[in-house]
Amino acid sequence: MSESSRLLRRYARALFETAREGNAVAGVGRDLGSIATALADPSVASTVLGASGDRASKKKAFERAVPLETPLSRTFVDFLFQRRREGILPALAPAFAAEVDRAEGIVRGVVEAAVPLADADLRAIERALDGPAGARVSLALRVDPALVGGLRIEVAGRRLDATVRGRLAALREDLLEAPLRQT
Amino acid sequence: MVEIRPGEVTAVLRQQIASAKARTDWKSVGRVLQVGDGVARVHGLEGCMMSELLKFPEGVGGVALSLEEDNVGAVLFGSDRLVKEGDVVESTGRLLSVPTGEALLGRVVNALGEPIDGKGPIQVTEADWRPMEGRSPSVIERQPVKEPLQTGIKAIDAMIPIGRGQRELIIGDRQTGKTAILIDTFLAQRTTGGGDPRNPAQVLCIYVATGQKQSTVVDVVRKLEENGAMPYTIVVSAPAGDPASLQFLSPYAGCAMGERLRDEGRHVVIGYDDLYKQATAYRQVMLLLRRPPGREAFPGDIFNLHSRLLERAAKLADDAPKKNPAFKKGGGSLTALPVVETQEGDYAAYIPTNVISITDGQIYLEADLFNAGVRPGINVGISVSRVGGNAQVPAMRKIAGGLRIGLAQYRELRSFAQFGSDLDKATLAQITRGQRLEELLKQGQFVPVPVEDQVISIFAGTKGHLDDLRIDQVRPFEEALRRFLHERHPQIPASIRETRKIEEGTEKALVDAIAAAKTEFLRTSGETQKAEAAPPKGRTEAPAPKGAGGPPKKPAAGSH
Ligand SMILES: Nc1ncnc2c1ncn2[C@@H]1O[C@H](COP(=O)(O)OP(=O)(O)OP(=O)(O)O)[C@@H](O)[C@H]1O
Ligand SMILES: [Mg+2]
Repeated sequence: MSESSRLLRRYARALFETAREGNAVAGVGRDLGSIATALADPSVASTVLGASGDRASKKKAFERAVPLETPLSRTFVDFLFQRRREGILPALAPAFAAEVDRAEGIVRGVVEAAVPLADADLRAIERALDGPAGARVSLALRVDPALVGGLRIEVAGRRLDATVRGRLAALREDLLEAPLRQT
Repeated sequence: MVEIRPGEVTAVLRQQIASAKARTDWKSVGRVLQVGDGVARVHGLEGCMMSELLKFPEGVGGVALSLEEDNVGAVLFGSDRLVKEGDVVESTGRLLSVPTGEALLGRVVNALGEPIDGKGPIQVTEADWRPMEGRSPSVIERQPVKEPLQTGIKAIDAMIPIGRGQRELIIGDRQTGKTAILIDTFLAQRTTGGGDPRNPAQVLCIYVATGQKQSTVVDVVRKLEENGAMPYTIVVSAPAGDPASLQFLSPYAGCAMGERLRDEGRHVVIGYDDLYKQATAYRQVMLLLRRPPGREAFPGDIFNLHSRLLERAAKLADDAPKKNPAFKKGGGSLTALPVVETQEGDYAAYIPTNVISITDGQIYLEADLFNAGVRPGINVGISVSRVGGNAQVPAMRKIAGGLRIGLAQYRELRSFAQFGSDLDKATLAQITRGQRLEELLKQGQFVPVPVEDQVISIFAGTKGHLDDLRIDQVRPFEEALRRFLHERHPQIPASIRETRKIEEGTEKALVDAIAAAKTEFLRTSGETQKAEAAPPKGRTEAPAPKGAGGPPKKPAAGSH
């Protein structure tokens, strides 16, 4: 599992660096997005990635299903098929996006709230947070009325729960653990 | 039952609610990658510690048992059906802990420290909880082993002496008397403080039963109770029927309980019965977590786990509290007696080799000896204790040399013994001596021998006072001698007990008393003439197979 994630990161990084030199980051990003969408269809995925079928016909099927806009994307996909690494195609889009973020010094996170937040509030929260190594935090908003009130923020593997629901849950735990000492 | 009074409940609730104010900290989180069979693999959880408690959704708890580069393997304490892939897992910063302290003495608990003896809840406070994973004392917080831990077993106390704070391995095939050595050692501790756990001199005992049959644990507890050892003993039980994760954790639970007492200046001996079964349980947990196995299919870090566990045994420095306030009182000790079961005497297998290399000595138990009636079946030829010698009672140290030499010579000559009449006189004499010494080291279960009585027996044997007895008379005479001395010359054992030496006057009195006891013994058993008149060959019976040790080999042809 960690071996394959390392592999994915290596390919994504190589692709990103080549794209940046050729000013093709945006185009490649869009291509990877359409690849991910196309491969989300199980029938396409099984023809392109399945165990049966030779490489040439798999590649043909892929080219039919996913028209790519930049030449770099096409070269890269050829390269993957050559090396029999087409298996990483579906996961390439988020890995590439992570490389883009890394280069731009952005870490992405999620803020959850019971009600929609105004854009200005969202930006204010982003500014209040420090990403690791001085990175800028960019938050996506998710609305979940079950939180009742307050905010829950998750960035870079860490979470801050300041929701009413979270507080109630913590209180419940405390009460369950409360020692009923005979004093 | 604990009585719950409504007024008190209200007060506790109000206090809890008041203290539950804004506790909004950043917590490390991860996501469930896969879950099933009571375990989960979690992606993320950066900074997670070994045995850290984790929070899964729906109030399911877990504990991290396998830390890898980008994921953590955890065992769940609740139902794994409530947890699904993608769920958020929160770290807590708290380590898996057990209740500790004197309140646990006399109790049987599971690997989480919960009572399972039906004797009601254990009264502990929040401060009594200690993490199972403990830090082993540093060099400056320790001191060399210097006091004996008497096992009451003659062969061990004389030839493989164990010191308080030492790690001595008990190793042997199944059914060779491994557990019996632990139990007898525990019974022997009764003499240290009259069996009263409040007496600071009383050595406390912890028996950790890992992967044992439930009936074995019940037997052990009954024996401890019958012999008055339970009041100063804690039993941690994770029998074969318990989840593998609890079996794996049980030694750490027992160790945490022992450390607590050690850090308060007490002397504690803990038996881990056994670490082979614990390693097997760990292997099972790691297979569920899909960790790739290493040698003999055991996870690669099992060596590390065993080494960290045994490192926690220690004799604390007298001024340990000055160096680290975590110690309440200096001078306490935790002696570890790990047990490892071998398969057909294979000491070179992975787990035995590991544990041998991280202990200060080994007691080898052999099925051949045991089955030939040499019980305990200790191979004294290869068993060692590397640090306990300094702690041995001086009287014993002085005579143990003769015992060692006598037995070693006997081991060399034993194979010739069957040629009886062809042997010269000196050789015959050595065989005669060796046979009697070997006989002297046999000992039944549940009869720990106090050190002064051990010294007297071994003195009689090594000085040749038993050479003119038949082999089958050796143990009855030993018994008679002990009774004779305690009735007629109680000052002799008393002097040895108090001075821990055989003083010159005492030695003379002892030699005379042995002679007198022997005359009386032979008269009352009506065998004076027989013993005197027996020819040398008659006294030198063919030795027991393998005798008192020697390298593992086929038993010599011989009869008893
Ligand atoms: N010194 C002894 N004298 C007589 N019998 C003994 C002695 N030591 C042990 N036994 C008996 O031998 C049997 C095996 O002993 P014990 O259970 O201690 O062995 P073990 O090595 O722990 O076995 P297992 O592998 O099953 O755990 C028991 O019935 C025990 O009572
Ligand atoms: Mg046993």
